[in-house]
Amino acid sequence: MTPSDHIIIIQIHNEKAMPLIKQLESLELITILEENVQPAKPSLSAKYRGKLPAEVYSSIQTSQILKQIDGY
Amino acid sequence: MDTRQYIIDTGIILDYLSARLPENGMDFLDTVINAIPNISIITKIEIQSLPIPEEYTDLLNNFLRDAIVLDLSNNVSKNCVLINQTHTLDITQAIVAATAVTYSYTLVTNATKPYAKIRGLNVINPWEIFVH
Repeated sequence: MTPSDHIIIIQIHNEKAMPLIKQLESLELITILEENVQPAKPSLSAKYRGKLPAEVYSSIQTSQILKQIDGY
Repeated sequence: MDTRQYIIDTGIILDYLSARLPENGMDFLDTVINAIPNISIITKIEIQSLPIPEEYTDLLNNFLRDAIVLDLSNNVSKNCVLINQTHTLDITQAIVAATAVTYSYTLVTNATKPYAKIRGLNVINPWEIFVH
């Protein structure tokens, strides 16, 4: 720690802020001293991976909008 | 630490939601999704326009709420014009590409060909991730 360092405690209201904070740390602009927030929700991958059934996916394959979308 | 950030297109989101990608691709997307997915406003519009059965609209709307949606800012618009002047992309593809270039994000897509020669744009196809 140097004399110019400031220590502040912040509260994260939205998880979207975390990647930004992690990036600031990776750039050595800040240091995360302590993370005491337990993840209250399941990870986003657990929430979304494979949650759309194959038959729903197949049904939207024929939609006009999908034919205009990248990769289809 | 890999500090790269990604922007995911509509096709790959649908592939991930329906677990169609190969295992390596799904695992890669797990990491990208868990780090909070970035998407273009175009992707949001495309997803909301899909004829999804009512019981699955919450799934997609929640995904859109959890994602960071990147709007059509002035810088994105300027980059989109530059891309349109030198490449023959659909306007939606050009906006997605311009958004990726503006934020220096790697575009995650299965449609790599249209984006192949855009200066400053990195692309990754989760259908073609191989572990040796």
